[in-house]
Amino acid sequence: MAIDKDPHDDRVLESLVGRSISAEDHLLACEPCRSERNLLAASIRAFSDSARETSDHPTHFWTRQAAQIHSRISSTRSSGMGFRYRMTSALAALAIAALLLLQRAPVPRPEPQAVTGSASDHELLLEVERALQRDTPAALEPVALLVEDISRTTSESAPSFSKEQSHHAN
Amino acid sequence: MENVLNDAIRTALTSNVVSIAEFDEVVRRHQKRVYRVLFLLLRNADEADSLTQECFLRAYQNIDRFRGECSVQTWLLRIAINLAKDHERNRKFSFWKRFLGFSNEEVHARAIEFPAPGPNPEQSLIERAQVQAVWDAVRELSPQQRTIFALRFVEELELSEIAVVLGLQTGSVKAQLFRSVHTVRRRLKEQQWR
Repeated sequence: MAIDKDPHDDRVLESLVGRSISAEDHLLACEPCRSERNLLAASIRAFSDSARETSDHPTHFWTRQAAQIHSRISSTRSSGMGFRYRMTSALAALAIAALLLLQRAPVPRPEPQAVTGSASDHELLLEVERALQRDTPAALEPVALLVEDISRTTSESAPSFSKEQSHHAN
Repeated sequence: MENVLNDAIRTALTSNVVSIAEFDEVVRRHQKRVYRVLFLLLRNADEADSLTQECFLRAYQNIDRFRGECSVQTWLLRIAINLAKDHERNRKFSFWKRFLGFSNEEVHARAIEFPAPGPNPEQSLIERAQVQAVWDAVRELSPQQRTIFALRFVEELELSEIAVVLGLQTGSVKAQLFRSVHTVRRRLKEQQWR
């Protein structure tokens, strides 16, 4: 929107918008601007009157509007209070239920930790003792068994061979 | 008496403890002005009525936010203008809904009726034409300019008060009012030339 740059126009508008002292001084000296401002001011005043009259209503309109506002406020208030009441009751019921559940729940008994501990210690000692008594380490046990087996076989076959040998010698 | 009552309402609102009876007094005191501003912004009597009710309901629900830094009237007008803005936004959206066939809702904007002409028919006709030209010019303004124009010339609020209501700088209000008056003047000149 382009605004006229005529200084007279600006003075007229300024006098209406911001009650500018310089604009008022100008209007006192400039008759065309003064009449222009008066015309514009009168038109705006007529518009304001028209706006007030158009938006005005008989008393019963305002009474009805106020009553409706009152009833809407009352209903929100009561529904708000109802909501608060319902929430409080629900929370209270929840708290009681939680309390009852806690009371009825089986009490967890402490496990005999110390006994288990000593038993496992005893097992461990026995294991150590067994390992010490063993000739070979546990990992080499299969090999030891194989060696034992071979040596047993050899010792069993050795006398017959010697007998045979002695037989041939004879 | 007026000021005493105003102070009492203000104190009640600031303390955030307001009975419905006390709030009824606030409604009675300010409903006409709130309605008038909404009517000028929306140009629809039914919508203005409905939003006036909504404005007071919101005010009551948000009483705890009223700190007493501005007058009760300024606070209420701020709520009303924000409601009008939201309403305009929704109206644009509902236009598209209707256009796309999602809604069958009809717009029932009631035509603005001017007061009956005065005793001198010729003079009344001229005056009526002038008033019509101002109404047309006001319709041409942007929503913010229209609000400022209405608050200044219909409600006779000071520029600083308008600035508080709209959350603007006084200088900005003055600049927008200047443009609004310029538009009105242009319209009146056009009407004179016809």
